[in-house]
Amino acid sequence: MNITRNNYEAFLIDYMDGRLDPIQSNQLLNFLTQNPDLKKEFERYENIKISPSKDIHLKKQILKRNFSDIKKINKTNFEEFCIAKLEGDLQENDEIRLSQYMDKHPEMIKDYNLYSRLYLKPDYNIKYPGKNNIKKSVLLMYKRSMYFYVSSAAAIIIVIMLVFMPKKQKEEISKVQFADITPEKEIVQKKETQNNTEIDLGSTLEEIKEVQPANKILNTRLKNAIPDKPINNTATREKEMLSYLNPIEAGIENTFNYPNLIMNRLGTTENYQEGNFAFKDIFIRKLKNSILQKDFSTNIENKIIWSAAEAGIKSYNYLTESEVELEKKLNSEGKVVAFALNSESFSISSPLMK
Amino acid sequence: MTVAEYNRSIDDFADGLYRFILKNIKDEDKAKDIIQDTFEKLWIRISNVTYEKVKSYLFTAAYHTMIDLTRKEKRKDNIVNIDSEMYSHNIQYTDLTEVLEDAINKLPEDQRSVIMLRDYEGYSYNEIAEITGLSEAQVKVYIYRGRMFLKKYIGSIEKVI
Repeated sequence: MNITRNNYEAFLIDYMDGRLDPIQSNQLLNFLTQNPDLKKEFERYENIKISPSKDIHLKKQILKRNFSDIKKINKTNFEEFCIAKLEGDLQENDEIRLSQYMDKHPEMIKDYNLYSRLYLKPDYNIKYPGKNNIKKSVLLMYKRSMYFYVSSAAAIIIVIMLVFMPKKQKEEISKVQFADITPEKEIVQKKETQNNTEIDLGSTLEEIKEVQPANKILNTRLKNAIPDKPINNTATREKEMLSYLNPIEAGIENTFNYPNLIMNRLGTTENYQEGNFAFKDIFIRKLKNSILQKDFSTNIENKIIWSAAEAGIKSYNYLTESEVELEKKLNSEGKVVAFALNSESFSISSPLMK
Repeated sequence: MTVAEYNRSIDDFADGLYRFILKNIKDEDKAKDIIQDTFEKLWIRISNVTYEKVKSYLFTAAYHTMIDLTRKEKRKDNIVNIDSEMYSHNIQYTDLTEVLEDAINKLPEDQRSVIMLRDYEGYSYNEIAEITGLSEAQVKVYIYRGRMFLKKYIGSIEKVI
């Protein structure tokens, strides 16, 4: 077969592998003499030598599961032992062997110490700046039933908070609107102001009759509520007043059976004293005891409201067999600064308005 | 995983993830994009990933996104522009940390990544293998090889100084 520029490479490879007979070898050399550019290429191939990688030795040592298979520690494998020790890959016996080797060759300790310092430490000052942008606050649900549950929960919470949120009352009206009846109340002097008369109700019904409150509606109501016959017994008198002013509340009060009821219906007691309860306090206490199973011992406004909200959530969970949780976030002073409603399907969070 | 757990995973792992990617690619904007992209992928698969496995998922996703980005950009780079100063020692070093940072940048990306995962996050060989798609044996070899390179680099610096 003739050697040409189209097939010379195959002959070159066979020549370098020693597979050409003497006749073919001479033909190849003659061909290369006639084609000097190809002869240069051939000479380049002849000089290329691939030597085994030094890393193969490293690979063998590293991939060995047990450094104990290496019989002797020497300068060649010392570095691998150092790395293995620092990576925690050495067994106790091998660690002892390494220590003994370094005791015999103290000049190698410097290398070991250098390896021990070659560990990166994270820079905790580097922080990802966009966390809040990638957080998810609401998972949009496309099922009609979930909208119903969410809106129901929100409605319950809003209603509870509206009912039990303490309302600001103007000073000049508050004393007029409520009959403050206590078992032992001193008669307070009247104060007359322009077009407004502050009234502090006395301990007898006759004194109440004589009072001229500024609020005409309540005035009428009080007058109509006051019976003609005198009432001597304090507890009975309280119940009588309740029954005239608000039959529903009277019924509830009788159910609760609290004798020291202060009739401040729309708010909590301003000066809380042990044993004296406002109607709202009583209601919350009952609610907490029966639903939340907690002991209510102090009358703190925010605890009442949160307790009511928790009660609403628990009621909602009971009715809908859900597991919605109400969480509140506190600042360093222990005040609530944000709240969140969490469940498996949604999460709503919001800071509290100041 | 719930929505609350998803948000918690951002608080727990976003910083470490960002640190790892930033140290690799040295570009803040691209690192932020990768982190955002990673968490979006997690959000899409939120029902398939549990909170116990989320850290591994995040690092795996971020690592592969980073590799895709760096390889795409390497193809665009002009070979002439390869920084010839990469292997010079002209800069002044103030402490070992800076020297290490410079040395780690000289490593090939696979070795650099595995060493960072090992040192920054304390992952085991097996965990690093899962994240990077390498075998456990390869991870071990890369770490050993990388440490030897760092030691030689530091050693040569000390001789020069």
